[in-house]
Amino acid sequence: MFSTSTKILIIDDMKTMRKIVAKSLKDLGFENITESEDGVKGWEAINAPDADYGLVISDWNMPNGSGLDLLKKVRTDTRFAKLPFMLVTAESEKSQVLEALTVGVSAYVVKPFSMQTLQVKMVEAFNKTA
Amino acid sequence: MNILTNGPVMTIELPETLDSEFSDLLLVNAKDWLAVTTIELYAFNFQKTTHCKQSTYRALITVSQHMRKSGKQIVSHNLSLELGQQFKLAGISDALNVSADLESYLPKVSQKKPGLDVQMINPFLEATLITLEQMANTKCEAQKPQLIHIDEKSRSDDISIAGVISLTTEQFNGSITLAFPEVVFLKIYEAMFGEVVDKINEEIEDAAGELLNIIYGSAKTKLNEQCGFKLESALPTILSGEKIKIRQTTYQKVIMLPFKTQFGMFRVEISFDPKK
Repeated sequence: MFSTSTKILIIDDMKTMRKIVAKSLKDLGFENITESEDGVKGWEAINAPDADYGLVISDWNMPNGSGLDLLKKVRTDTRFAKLPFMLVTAESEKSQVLEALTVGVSAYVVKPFSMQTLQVKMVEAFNKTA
Repeated sequence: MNILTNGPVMTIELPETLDSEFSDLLLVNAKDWLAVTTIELYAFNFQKTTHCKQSTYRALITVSQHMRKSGKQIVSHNLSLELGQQFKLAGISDALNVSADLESYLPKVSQKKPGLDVQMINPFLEATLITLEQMANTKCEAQKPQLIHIDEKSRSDDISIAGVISLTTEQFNGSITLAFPEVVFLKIYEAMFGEVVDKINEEIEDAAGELLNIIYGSAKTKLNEQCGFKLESALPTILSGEKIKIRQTTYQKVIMLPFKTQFGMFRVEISFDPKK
């Protein structure tokens, strides 16, 4: 599992969701948390010189650059081929899940979710990219 | 009598001899059978019956009438030639809907879909319970759903914050509304983040919108997969202020789902006009 010092980036256009995910992560002992409000800003954050994120947790549906588009960018850049990347979404249609798996998502979290579910999915993401 | 229930069909296997004792038993048991709301067809199976006393006709007719008045179908089948002739001569064949072929009734039952209101309630009810519990650390109890009549469609009930999402499908147009009194939602917000807030602000509105968003997203997936709707993703509109009046003017049906929490009551309203 990720160490509690892992640098985590949360990307979501809704402040409430960012707060919910951040609170869950803090309750799980993680302190090194950064937030971005859309896919474009998220990509800038991942690319920043001192970024060094160990985990990205991104919403799927965002007005300015979707989570799936961001994942595609991340996976086509060799620097981030093994970056654990989790998608959070209210959608659980099979076609969407399959699309995310094809692109290389590390774990897929469907809203609503509990802190325990988030933790289980983080373990899944860690194991998949270890 | 043996009773077999298979989905919307209840089969009542009648005994060898139908006498006064059977009549009493039939009248008593019929009340319980009618209480099973999911039954659409009562099938009387006369396969074992060889004797039917005239004194039992009244009980058979009475029970059949009650079933029909409750909007159910009935059919009597597997009668011997002699019994069929006996019922015909007594003039009760039509009342008991004597038919040689039970199978012809089954497709009619299975093809009958539950109403839109029944299809809509459970996905939204389940989504609300689980969303509030998992995302807002708030356990809720669903209270009895209510159908709001036209003259009751405008109410306040101290609602201070509400989120609304429009629903548009091939089958219906409508909306889903999540509405809270101020004191209830401020406590829910506190349970979510551990932050005490004394009045509604932009962050509170954002939280109400996101909860509705999650409830809608969760229910939408079920409705699309299970009922074949094509509900699209949609963003909520948030309304806030003192004693908001929620007025449903355009929709034929409004179902109110009240929920009880340790902080007080809130509600979800589902409004829709079925398309013809």
